[in-house]
Amino acid sequence: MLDVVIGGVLLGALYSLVAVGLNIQYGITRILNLAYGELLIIGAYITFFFSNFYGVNPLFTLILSGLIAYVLGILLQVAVFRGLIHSSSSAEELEFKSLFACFGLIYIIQNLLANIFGTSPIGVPYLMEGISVLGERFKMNMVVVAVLSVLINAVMYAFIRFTKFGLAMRATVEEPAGAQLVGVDVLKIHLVSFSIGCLTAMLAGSMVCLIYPNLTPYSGTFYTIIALITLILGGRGNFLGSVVGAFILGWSHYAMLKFKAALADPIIYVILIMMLIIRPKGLFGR
Amino acid sequence: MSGARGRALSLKGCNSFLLAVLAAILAFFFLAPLFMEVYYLSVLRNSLLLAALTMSWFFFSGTTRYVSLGSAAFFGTGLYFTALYLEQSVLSKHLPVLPLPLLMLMAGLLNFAIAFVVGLISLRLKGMHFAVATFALGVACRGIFDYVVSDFMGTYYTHIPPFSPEVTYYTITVTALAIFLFVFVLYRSKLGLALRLIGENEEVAAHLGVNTSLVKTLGFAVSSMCIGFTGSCYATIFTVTSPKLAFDYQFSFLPPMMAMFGGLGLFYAPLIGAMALSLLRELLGVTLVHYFLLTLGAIIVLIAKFVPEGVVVFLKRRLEVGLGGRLGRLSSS
Repeated sequence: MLDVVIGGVLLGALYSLVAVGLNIQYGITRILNLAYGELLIIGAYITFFFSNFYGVNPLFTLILSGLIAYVLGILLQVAVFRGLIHSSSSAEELEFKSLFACFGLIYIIQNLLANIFGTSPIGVPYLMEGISVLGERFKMNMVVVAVLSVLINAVMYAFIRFTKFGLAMRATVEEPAGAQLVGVDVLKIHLVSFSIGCLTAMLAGSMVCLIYPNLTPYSGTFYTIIALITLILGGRGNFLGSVVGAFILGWSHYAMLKFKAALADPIIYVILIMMLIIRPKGLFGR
Repeated sequence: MSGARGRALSLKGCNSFLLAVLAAILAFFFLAPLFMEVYYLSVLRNSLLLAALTMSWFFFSGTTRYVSLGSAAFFGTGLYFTALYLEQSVLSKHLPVLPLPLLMLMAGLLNFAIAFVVGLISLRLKGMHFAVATFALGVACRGIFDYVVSDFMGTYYTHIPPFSPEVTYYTITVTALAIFLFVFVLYRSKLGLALRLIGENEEVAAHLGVNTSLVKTLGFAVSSMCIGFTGSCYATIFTVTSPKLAFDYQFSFLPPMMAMFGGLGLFYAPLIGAMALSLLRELLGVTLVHYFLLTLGAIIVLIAKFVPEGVVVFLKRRLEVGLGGRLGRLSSS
């Protein structure tokens, strides 16, 4: 029983990092980024590339992955999504258009990765030895990844909660027009929020790569769904809500993996569908 | 909606011309097995199938703008029902051997019933929430079928008795053409009008006396029924099928992508868009898979950025402007 509780918490920590980027992207810019999981897989391939071909320590590749992610996020936002935001008259229209653009992005990223690295599964096995947590045995990498995820999440939370820029971001979620009126540079907010979303996605991807040795260019969809479900559990633009949602998701997923592995994936979709019916605005929605 | 009116006017104007083109296309589809190689026949039937899937999706999601990402759920249910029945009717003596059209009808009606219940529950959601819920439905169906098939059926793979290429071709072609006709008739019926009205503005539709929840649920169920038909006739292509193949993500992603490629404003735009894209995909996608899909992705991003209303709709408008209204005069005369 205890190992399910702890394992669920460890998995939940990773899921919270997976989800937080989409929550920032969708919450602030209203871009429904269906290519989110594919961005995450790019992070995994960056870690694989540097540690396999140049012998860089996998944890150090997180920094490289983050840098590349931030630049990529800025490029994507300027090249693709900025025009969509300008040409859309309402948030619903933007969601609709960004959905279409994301189908294209999914194709581009999947096939670019398949072209460069091939389609055979990759992974960077790292710190595979066991460690004991409160008397239960877990793999070392699970624990390291969970601790790092919590750290990154804490930094993100502090950034949004306590800095002036974070205040501007929260203001844009609440009242876009009003924020613009009091002098918030909404264009810059959108740019930075989208890039931060990419950054956390690819960091999460790099860490997923350390744990699971069977990633292919096509395995991004699962993480898109995890992020979307957490987004709905937590509510749009609600940082803490999405963390709580991720822990619920991680715990139930882990418990089902122990109890009946074949039903582990369906159960999280059933949770989502029930959640949408009972509380479509999220656990803490008003 | 201006698209429907334009369609009606041009039908009046170029009636005989359009009918001749339509007859030529029909004749081509029915005579194709006489002069085409089996490979090109399979390309043609796969494109028709994807176009039929796209049009079924378009009938509900394209008109109401409730984007459904769960086509795979209904496609896979239709496919699996047909495959399982075909296998079981061969293996066991309890089930009568039914003709294929009857099986397809049953698969469609099964989907209609499922979608009616799902629609009643999920159509209260809007926009992104509906999209995510249907997406989850597709993936959940796959997981549940995975579990049921591998735990209760004994084997993961379902064997389907083989069909000859001609039978497969005619089954798919007739189903696809029937779906085009069915969707076209319904699109111009009262139900289609109500759905389009909901797409324009749901509150206005409700004020005008449209029972929006009933219309939406009915539209969703009819659309899913057509998706079930396409899934059911897809079973004739394979000799072996599995939940992974039947509930593939691409059956959820391709219909909205192809429909948006053509454009959602006109009835025939998604049809032309889907035919063009799927023909390209079938012809080039075999030899140069990754390069082709890469280019396709880039084209779709460019279209989303510069021509968000869709290629066919855009071309039609440019043509009308370019001809200086000649087309308009022609159609109104």
